[in-house]
Amino acid sequence: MSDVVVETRNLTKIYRDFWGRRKVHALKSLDLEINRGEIFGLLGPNGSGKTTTIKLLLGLLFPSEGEALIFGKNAGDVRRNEKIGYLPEESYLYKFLTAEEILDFYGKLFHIPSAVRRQRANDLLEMVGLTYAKKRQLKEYSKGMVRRVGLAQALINDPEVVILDEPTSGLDPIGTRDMKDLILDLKKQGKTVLMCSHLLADVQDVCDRIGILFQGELKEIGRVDSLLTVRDVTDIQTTALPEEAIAEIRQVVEKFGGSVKSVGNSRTTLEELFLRIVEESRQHPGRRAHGGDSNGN
Amino acid sequence: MVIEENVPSIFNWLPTAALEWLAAVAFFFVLVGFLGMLFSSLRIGPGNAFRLVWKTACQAFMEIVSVSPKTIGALGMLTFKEAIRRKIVVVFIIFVMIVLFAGMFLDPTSPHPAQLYIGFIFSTTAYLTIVLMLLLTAFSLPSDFQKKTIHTIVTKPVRVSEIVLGRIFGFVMLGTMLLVPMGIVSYGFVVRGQAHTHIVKSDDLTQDRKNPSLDRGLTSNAREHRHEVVFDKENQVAYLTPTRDHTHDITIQEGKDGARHFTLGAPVDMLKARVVQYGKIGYLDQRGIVSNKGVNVGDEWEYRSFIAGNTDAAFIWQFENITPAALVGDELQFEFTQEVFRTHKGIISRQIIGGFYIRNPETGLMLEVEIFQSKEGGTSVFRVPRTINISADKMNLKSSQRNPNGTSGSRASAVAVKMARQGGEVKSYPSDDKLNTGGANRAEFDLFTDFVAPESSMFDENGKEIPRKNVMEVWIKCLERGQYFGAAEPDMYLRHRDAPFAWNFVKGYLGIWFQMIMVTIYGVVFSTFLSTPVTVLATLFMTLGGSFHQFIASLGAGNVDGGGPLEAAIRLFRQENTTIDLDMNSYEVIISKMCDTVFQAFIRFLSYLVPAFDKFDTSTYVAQGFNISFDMVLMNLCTVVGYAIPLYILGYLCLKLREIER
Repeated sequence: MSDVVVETRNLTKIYRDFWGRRKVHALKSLDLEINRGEIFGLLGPNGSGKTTTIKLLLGLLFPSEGEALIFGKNAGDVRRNEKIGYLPEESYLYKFLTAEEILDFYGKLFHIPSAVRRQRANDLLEMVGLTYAKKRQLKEYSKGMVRRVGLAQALINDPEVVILDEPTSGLDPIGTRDMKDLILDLKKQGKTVLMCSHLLADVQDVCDRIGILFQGELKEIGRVDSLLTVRDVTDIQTTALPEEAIAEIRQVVEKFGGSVKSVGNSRTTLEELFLRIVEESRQHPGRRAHGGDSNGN
Repeated sequence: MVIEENVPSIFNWLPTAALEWLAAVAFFFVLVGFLGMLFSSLRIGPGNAFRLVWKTACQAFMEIVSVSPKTIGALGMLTFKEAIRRKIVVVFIIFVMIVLFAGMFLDPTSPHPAQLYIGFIFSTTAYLTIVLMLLLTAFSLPSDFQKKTIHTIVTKPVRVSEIVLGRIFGFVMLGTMLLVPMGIVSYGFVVRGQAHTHIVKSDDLTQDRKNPSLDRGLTSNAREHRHEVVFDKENQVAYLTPTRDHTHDITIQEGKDGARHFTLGAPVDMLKARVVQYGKIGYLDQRGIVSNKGVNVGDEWEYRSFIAGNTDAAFIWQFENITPAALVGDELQFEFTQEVFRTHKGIISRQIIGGFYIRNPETGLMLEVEIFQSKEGGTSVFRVPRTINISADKMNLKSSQRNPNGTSGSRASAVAVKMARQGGEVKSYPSDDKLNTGGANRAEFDLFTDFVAPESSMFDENGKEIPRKNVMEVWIKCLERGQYFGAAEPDMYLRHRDAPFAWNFVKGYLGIWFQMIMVTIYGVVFSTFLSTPVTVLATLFMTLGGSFHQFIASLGAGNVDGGGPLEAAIRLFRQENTTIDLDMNSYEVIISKMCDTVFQAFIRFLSYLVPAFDKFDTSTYVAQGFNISFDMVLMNLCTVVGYAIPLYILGYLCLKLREIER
């Protein structure tokens, strides 16, 4: 059995005007294969063809040439959708429904039995942290809350392939971290994830492989760790050292023909700092947080 | 009042209609396939185009047929919930408000109050529902596209066919949920609006000057009218003259003081559903020879034909299946609506005199049942008892009592009908040997034995003889020289036992329901490929066009005087009216005729696309007190289904071939 779950062959999309004249060549002969169980990220600046690729895969657009297959089937076969979960770029949901009703409605479209549907809806709402607001209509939700409901609806059918279009868009740092954790969790469950984003840090954190699109063309594809490895630079991280030790290390490096580019304390990311402060504030309400030191001092 | 259309039986109508439907639908989809091939050929070549169209057709067939009721139900409920959450119930509140204040605007002095109330309530309901559904459907799918909520639907295991059906189902469910309470409120409005009674005091009755055995007087005023009360002291019975389409039951009680007390009940015959049976009309000309139509007295509207007075001319209606089951009480009741054309004033103190006769077509035995005064534009009622005794002066028809201004007839005779055959030969039917001349001298008759022929022949439109059972003829003659009676086939009918008014009201509401469904289907289908404003306009065009469907169909069939647009333009330019034939040898006329033929074909095609909305409107039947037959309801239902199937397929194709994202 082939491990390729998502595949595009010579996939091309040309937007034309009413008279059939070519307006935009959005995607040019894209060949892509995504294997079962991997997290694949499509990267690129705005207008590079990321979302177009996803929409072609889902049948929201018709290809001008080539094929876009999931499980070896094109979009004409709706049965393949039973194993697909899709989170659109913005959660296009019916705002007049409550979160509970939304999940029930999408569950019905998958013909999930009523009891299972109810149980799964409750589990998903708990997972995205919206149990407390499940009886409220979506029009009363913040953008981040709607995004979470969107994620829950994408998972209502326990899909094998999850397609996420800008999954962290509209989420606060905690939501972003939760989303990334969830994506990694999906991988652990053996699911295949295709995501596109222009937030490089998000992609770097979770993706096994990435493809970089620019003006509709695939410019680079490969494993994240190999693509990001800088082969002529060596990183060594230690616990804090005194000045003498650093001088001695410099001598050793020079002895082997190298040169030390920088020495200093390691820096955390702003995301990690923010999350640590929020977590500390949760544990000690009313106390000023001390998040400036990576050691927590 | 009369319904000017004789509804055919569903069994006669369905085979022809089904064939016509199949031909129209096949033509339409062949045209769609051909256009698809044509455009695809330009892009990908004829071979690939054929494969593409074939593949699309096969896929479409599978998707159209294999729909999931669960998915349709879920999508329908979504549509329903959306409308409810968007406070659609406000429409019902508006309706109730209109009903509450309607009494302030409806004319209390109307001669036909029930018609006024029913007409008002039905049109209000229809307008509100149709406009509501038009707007809702026009906004639904385009809104889904605009807000991209459809992205989360089509990426689920949902077929495009289910999306179209789900929308239609949801809106139909919503419309039905609105119509049901509207119907209940409407029924209450009509029934309560007509409920009244009057008071009659014995002191108000005075002795009739001409007939001392009668007392006459007026009831009290209620709802801007009174009835005349006639009390027959000999027989101790009283009756009321009908006013404003109704009368009241009246009971008489004698008090301890010896005074009479009259008690009137609720209105009778006001809210009714007459079950009627129509006959087949024929004519006798002035010489008494069978003719296929009467005289034209100069009316442009040729609906009614006329017969000349004091000649052998007559209207003859042949009624079949006249059995005891048709009796109401112990008599047959015929109602006749007539038009009168006068060539002179006549006698000023009375109306034109006519005669009502019944005849056995096989034996020729004929009975003059009643000599009556015409009611111009009104309806005369004739009752024929089962047992007829003409030995007494008045027979036992009691018609003089029921129609005080008329005179009872009392003559029987044997009459043969003359038919002109090819070559000018005139033959009589029945022949002399079959003519029941002996029967004419009898004094007592049985309606079914003497005047109903167990087997007889009737003629269809093409003159073909069709055997019928239990046939009786009803004749109408005008008896005054220089005056004419006019009638059409539905003007004379046999009235059976009335159907329940409430049930007829429901059937009338079914007509609105059918209209609502049609608007919904058109709205949803248009919204699969048009924007909201264009969908509103297109659906509105279909709705309004459907209201003039008869005219559009006659344009398409070339039955309108003056030809097509080009011929009309030529006539205008040359100032030639429609009675003059155009010179067929001139080039411009030949070209204009050719163009008009193409235009006519287009209009005919359009007439198939536009549903006959006017046919669905059965409120006239309810308002005028005629029962809506099941044949009519079934015909309307078949028509809705007939439109729904191809429109659903069209909606599917439009949505399927559309890029969701664009």
